[in-house]
Amino acid sequence: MSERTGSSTLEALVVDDEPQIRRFLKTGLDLQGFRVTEARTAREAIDAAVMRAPDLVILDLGLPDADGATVLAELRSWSQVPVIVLSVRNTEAEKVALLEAGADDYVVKPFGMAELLARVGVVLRRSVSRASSSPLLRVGGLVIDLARRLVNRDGAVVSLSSKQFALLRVLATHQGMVLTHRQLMKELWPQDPDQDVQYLRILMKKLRNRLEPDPSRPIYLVTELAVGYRLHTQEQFEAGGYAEAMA
Amino acid sequence: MTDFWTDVFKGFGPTWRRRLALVRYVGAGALVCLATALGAALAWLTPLDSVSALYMLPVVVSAVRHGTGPAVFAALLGALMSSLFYPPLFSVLVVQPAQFVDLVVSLVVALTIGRLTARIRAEMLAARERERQIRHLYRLGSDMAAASDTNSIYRLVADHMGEALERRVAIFVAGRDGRIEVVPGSTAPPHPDRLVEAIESLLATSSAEREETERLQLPAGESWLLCRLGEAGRAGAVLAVPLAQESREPSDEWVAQARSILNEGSRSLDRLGLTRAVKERNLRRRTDELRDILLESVSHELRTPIAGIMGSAGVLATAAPLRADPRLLELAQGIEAEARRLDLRVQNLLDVTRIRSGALLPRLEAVDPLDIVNSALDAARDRLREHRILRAVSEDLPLVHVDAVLVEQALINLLENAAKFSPAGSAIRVSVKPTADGVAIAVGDAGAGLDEGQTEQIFERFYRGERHADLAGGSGLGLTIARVFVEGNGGTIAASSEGPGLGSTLCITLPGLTEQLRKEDEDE
Repeated sequence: MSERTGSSTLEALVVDDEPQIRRFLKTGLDLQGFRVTEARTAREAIDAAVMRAPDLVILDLGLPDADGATVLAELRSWSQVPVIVLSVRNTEAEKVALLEAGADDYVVKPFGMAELLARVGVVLRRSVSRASSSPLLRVGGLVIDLARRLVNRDGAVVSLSSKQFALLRVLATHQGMVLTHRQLMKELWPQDPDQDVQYLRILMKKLRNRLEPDPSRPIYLVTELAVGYRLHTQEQFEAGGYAEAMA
Repeated sequence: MTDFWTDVFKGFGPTWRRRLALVRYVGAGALVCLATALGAALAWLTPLDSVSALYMLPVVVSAVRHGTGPAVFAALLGALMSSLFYPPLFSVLVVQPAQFVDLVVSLVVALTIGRLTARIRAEMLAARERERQIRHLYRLGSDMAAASDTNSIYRLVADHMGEALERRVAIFVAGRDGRIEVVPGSTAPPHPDRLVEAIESLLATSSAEREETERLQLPAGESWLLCRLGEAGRAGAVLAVPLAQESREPSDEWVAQARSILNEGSRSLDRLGLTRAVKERNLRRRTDELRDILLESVSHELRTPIAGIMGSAGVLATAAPLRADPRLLELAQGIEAEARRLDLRVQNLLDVTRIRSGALLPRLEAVDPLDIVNSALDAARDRLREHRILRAVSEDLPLVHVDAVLVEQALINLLENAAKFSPAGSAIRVSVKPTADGVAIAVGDAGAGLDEGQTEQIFERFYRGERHADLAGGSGLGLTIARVFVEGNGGTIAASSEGPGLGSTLCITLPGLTEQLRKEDEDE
């Protein structure tokens, strides 16, 4: 995918057995300049993924012939194509399992098109920049220089402990994407990833205290409840609209 | 209990026993006659020296077969008859001294053997009786085991009891319409109305208050014994036994047998209760499975079209032709917003169904309470647009031990409730404070407030305050759900108000972690 040039249109594969959902996804993505292939079943999805080599897969979990997770597993066995999962509420455990199985992100049904497009933007940018990841990240007033291990907030240098920086680095290298608690713990405590999630929460609290203008209402390091954490991209940060009056 | 059975067995007529005794004496006499005939035959063939030995035979046989009485009778009769064989032959009028000796010897033999035999026979009869009882109990037990409903157990008890007591007994149960009726099929004796009334009162009271058996004396001179029959703790039926006028003490075996029938009946009823409980549990499990499938499918069937509507409207809202006309754009956005609202309503109903069916299983974990609050504020942002959110958050909050998703939903409902019942532009205050053993999250509005009595009512299902009736619509389920979700997490939820017109505050308390990690960053 990295060999793709800017002028060619991107191809999206939409996998859902509901015609109306496929229809609006197709139209919505069409309007954004995607070429859309549709698949109704797991079988069709795999075939299309092989034949068309899409740049993006939008995958519904409830398919008539197989679980969406099966499709994801099969895809991941030979492809790194970005996958956004369509899930339903109250299935946090399932979301976590899918993210850990290689899904790039998820949206919860019912979802707004804008929400989905924002996620699409993030995963595509990431897949493009995967090879040549820029060491300098900017979100709002935050500048993170991964190469030089420097963090700057509103022009002032912030000092972080090595654990705090390690956490920030993992989130930054996956900027915009949600990372599950377990994925983060694996990175931070590789020797003991199964320890209490409390350690991660406390570490995150400290990191927020250093980086967030209001640590009680994070705008950079946001929580995906019961799933994990996400470092917002600039677009997500702007779309977040943290406009409500605070006191 | 024993008194009861003593009463029951009084008055079993002994006539048949007297008749049997007479038959035995006749039998003994017949044996003596037989011995005499044999003696006469022998005497005809060859002269007899001593006939006394001959008459010993009926004595011995009678003693063995009929007991001491008939044996003594045989000895006396034999002594008399032996006169026939002493000279003068075939005359009973002359008594020889040897005959006295014979009489004494045969009497001794009769008494000794009779006593021995009587003892052996008594033991044998007892053994036979035991065997009969065991066989009867076995039959009763296997009948009971095969019985699959209460009525057939009642019927079995009545039949076996009737057989054991050798009289007609009746079992009364409370029928479906509350009327007392005889279990059909039992060999019920005719029963007066007064009896039915007494049984009615016996069935109406709990076992603890009444004796297990009661005696009922009717004015007409009739006497009945009423005995409870049923599962432990509650009588389902009453066994009624008419008492005879004549009286005789019942044997212990009979009492024991009658009681064992009753116990067996009660045990079987208990077992039936257990079987029923198992059946019900299986049924419930099956129902749970069905309900889960149903919830799943309802959830899917209702929410998929909503997702279609919402997504389609969202696409329309991004299309250039609509973007060019603000009125059309507004419509498209309206469809999207309404579809989202509909989805939340459906979710609420599904949540209530889940709560009602007990399918709510919180997944507790360590969570930063602020994460929950922020997440809820984000999720409710659209509906809080017309209000100012004033946050007051304490420093150094402990982690809480809850299911974050459920608590978030509860908090969203609180926020929506606050937005719904307070005027646009007013402030909604959200405060998060530590408590002694956790965290308190309060949502205060500047709405109509609550009367004292309403602080509890608002959590009741479908309750909406009268003063709120003219305001925004809603299912009235939000706070009910919030309460169940919070309490399911081991927390509490309470409403308070300074009074009508002064706004109201809803406060959630959440349990903290029992052991908070105090461990610092490893490298700090």
